[in-house]
Amino acid sequence: MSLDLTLHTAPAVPLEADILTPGRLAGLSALETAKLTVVHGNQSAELGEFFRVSGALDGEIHLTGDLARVKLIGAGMSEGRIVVHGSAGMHLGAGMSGGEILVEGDAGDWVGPEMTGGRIVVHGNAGHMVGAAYRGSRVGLQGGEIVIFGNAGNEIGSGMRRGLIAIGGDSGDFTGVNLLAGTIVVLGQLGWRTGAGMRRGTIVSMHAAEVLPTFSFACIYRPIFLRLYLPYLKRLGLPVTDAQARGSYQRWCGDAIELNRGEILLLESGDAAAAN
Amino acid sequence: MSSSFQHVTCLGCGCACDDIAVTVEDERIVRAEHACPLGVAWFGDGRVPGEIRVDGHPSGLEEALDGAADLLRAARGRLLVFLGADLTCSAQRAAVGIADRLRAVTESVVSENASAGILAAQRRGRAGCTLGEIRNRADLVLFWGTDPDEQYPRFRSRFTPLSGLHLRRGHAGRSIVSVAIGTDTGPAEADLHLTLAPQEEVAALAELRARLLGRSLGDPAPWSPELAGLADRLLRAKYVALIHDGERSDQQRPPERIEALIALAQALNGPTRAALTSLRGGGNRSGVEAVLTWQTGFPFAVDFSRGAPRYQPDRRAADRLDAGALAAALVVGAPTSVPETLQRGLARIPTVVVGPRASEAPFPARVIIDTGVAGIHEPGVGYRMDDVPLPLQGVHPGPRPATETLIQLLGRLAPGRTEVRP
Repeated sequence: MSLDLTLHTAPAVPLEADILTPGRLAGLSALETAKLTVVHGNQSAELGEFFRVSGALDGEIHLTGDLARVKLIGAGMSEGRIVVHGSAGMHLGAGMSGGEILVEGDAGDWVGPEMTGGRIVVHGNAGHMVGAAYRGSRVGLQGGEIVIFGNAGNEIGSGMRRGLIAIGGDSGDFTGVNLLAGTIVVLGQLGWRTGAGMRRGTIVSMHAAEVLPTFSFACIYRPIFLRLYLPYLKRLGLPVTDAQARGSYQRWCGDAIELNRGEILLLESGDAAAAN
Repeated sequence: MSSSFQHVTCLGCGCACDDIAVTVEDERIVRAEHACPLGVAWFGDGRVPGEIRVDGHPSGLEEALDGAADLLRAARGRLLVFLGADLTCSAQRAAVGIADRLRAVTESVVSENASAGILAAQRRGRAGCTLGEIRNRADLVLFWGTDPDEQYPRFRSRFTPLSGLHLRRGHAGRSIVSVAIGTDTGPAEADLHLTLAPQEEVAALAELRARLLGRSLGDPAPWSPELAGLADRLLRAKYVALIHDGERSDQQRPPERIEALIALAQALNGPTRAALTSLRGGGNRSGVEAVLTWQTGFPFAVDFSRGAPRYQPDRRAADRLDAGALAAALVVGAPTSVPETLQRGLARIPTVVVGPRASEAPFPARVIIDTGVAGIHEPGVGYRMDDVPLPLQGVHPGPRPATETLIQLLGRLAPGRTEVRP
């Protein structure tokens, strides 16, 4: 039996619910959970003022309703699973180190900023700054996986150091800006200025894209690691084809104004046609 | 009766010229010697309104402060404290105390360009210097898309004159380079002129940096030969000062331009020496960042709602207002320094304004308390654009000081007098 929370009163102003993690709710009854404090605007409120709580925690929390105004769901979680039957607000899984979050609807900006482990799966679209470093901070995603089935906004994986971000749809501008290392796979179109200021790491796209002038063309080849990565993403549910996994890719090196050890891999147009 | 004041600091722009001689006759400023036209306009005749209004009706100070405290305490939802221009650092400090006590979010008079610069500097550091260093050492001054003569009239005569302590006299000692970005032109009398289209700017900065670092480039862009010449010139200089406008430009510039400029200054610091200077506006706006940093650790966009300061630069007050996430606002400082996007939002929520010319606020406010202007009516400390603190003088009697008024408001919000929040 899982712990079920159903939104009965939509918050008038954003609700900060960083207590909604399996670790913090462990060992609490439904009544005790409903009495926990959340921050509503400049005031404290009880969780029960917004959510109907039932069941008991067995490592899994189910949240139901439009939670677009509920922020920090699963922030700092290290174990267990959260399923959101609806949309989730900003800062979903911020700084999480383990466990899994599944969102059936859309997610707001800042999905998994500075997370170090675990997995976040969003079936809808996500906002800007997926897996990014917080403003003013240098290092973003340091481990774990973020999978978005829909589109994502700007600055995906900004300052990311390790881990995997996969976008099923299109990504906005500055995908992988200041990338330190790690892998970003975008099955749709890339926006402007992909990989600006990247040091190491890999950005993969299945479409042609405009590459910054500080990137230099290296070669066309068939990356072996994609034969492992892309089928893995397919198992997670992303629409990856065999032609993409085995296709040949243009390799662009950059960013020359940083370390120049990063790469952008773009599926060759012939292979892209076959893949579609 | 006439009285004169020497070494007065002017906050008309971020240069904070501290050599102004002000003469006051019959409670009117009649002369501000050495001041530029912007400074003369900023001093004016020293007379500012001294009104106090509650719900549009004239009121006493005690009554207005009680009304403001009640309004702010009664608000259900997050509060906004806006730190505006023309306040001394002690008044700003009292306002930060109020934000802390109200568990409010703060927004300050920092433009989009300036906040992008702060974030970029936090991410990758920054090579900067005082303006005195530029005056005495910089043998190559590069104006990147800015001509300071318009917004900062005395900048070039004070900080890049033809001679400096460690420079040879005349043009042999210091050369000026102007890079125009679209309609943002540089000084007309520069030794070298370059023109870039706005959409080329970031790519050109990247190319310039790649050239300085000796990195190979792919297809050369059409402006490449000129940039190669500029890169060569930068490398031959002993001390390069990069100057750009941190406040405004004719068009909204991409936020990555500032990071590219910072990176360019850093890249130059290997083969030679370089510093980046952002021109900032007046009214002690650099002081807002200094005060917030020493009080909370963060320079802007501080959120006190969880009891301890949190840094939320990605969520600005205008966004919060549009999302309906703010219940009431306290604007301290000159209300004309509130950005237009925010003014429209403030019209929708109950607002208290405490500051110079509060009664002339371009948005409706429930409680209005006019105070004196920092540096004209109120002495204290203000910051120059290069974060050098300078003393401010009070040269004119004027209305009640902002610091005192804000401390009185802070006292009314003390825990013993407010209802206890859970």
